[in-house]
Amino acid sequence: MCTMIAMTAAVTGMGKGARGWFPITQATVGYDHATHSGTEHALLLDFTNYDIGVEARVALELDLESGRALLGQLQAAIEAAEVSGVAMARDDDERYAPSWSSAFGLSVSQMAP
Amino acid sequence: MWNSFRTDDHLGISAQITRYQAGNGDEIHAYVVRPTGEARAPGVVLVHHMPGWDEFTQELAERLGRHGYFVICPDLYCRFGHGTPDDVAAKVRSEGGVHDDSVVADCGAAAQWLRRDALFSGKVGIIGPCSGGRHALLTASRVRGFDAVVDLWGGGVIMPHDQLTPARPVAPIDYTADLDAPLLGLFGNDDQSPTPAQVDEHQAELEKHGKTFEFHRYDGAGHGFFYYHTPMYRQQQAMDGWEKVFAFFQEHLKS
Repeated sequence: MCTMIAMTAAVTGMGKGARGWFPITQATVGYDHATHSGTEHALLLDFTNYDIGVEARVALELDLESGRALLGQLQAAIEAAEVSGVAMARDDDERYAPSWSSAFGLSVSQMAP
Repeated sequence: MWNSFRTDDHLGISAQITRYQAGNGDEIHAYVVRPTGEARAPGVVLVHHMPGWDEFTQELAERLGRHGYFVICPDLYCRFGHGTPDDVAAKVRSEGGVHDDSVVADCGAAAQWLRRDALFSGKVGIIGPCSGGRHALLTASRVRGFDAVVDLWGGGVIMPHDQLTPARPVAPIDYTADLDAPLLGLFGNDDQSPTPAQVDEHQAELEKHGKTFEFHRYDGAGHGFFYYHTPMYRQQQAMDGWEKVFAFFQEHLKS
């Protein structure tokens, strides 16, 4: 069945897809037809940047148990980062502010020291 | 019927991707399968499922073509961009699905495209699996001129108010009075959408409006039991279902 379950969130980060690293702007979490899991349905996680194109996508298909495990560890990692103080310090420091678009625009030779 | 051709028949198909003027005047892709030979052929609009305009759909079109149908299968996701079918489907999913009005317009235009071709024999059907079944039913209810419609386990025909969305604003069952073609429906009794109770409700609505239809329900099958590329495939139910499809199209499109 088509569940049409899909939620999106604006995100900032980098993902590695078929053509290398690219800036991620959106995450979509769904539960619908799986295409590769060998199951009828799966948790579908898509990290995308549709400004680049449809294929700028990192995709995951997980079963529900894996989704719960991931959710728990994601929450735990975030809390640990916040407790450490490191994440807050970096977020407040402009020297660490990422410039995703410029990072994506660099060629390999430009990025090499 | 499947595997019933004569070995001395000159059976063949040609298949290619083309572009046609679809809804809103937009040019979109379509997969077109033509039976080869001189004889004219009835047309079929094939509506792809939610996972997209994919290889299964193309093979389904080719199977219909080998049985003598002139098939057009529009890429209903064409306006969302291009990549692998699952990449495109992911984008469509993130945007809440393709709009029903867009699908109806594209499929109606596809039928018109068939009618303008010299190969077309005069009758046209529409068929789809999964969301394509829902969209086939919706199109045959909102566009005049279809001679047969096949709904393969389409969920979301019955939609409670809280399931209506901007892309799917009206439940197809609400158009039952307008349905303008005989309907064949195939369903698995283990399916969660549509459930057997929803199929019952749809059947009652069709009976209330005096529509011509036949529903076949299969034990031991759930959703997508034709999908030989997934664990949902059920060989016996699928082969019987294909016989039902061919018999239905034979009666309404070739007679």
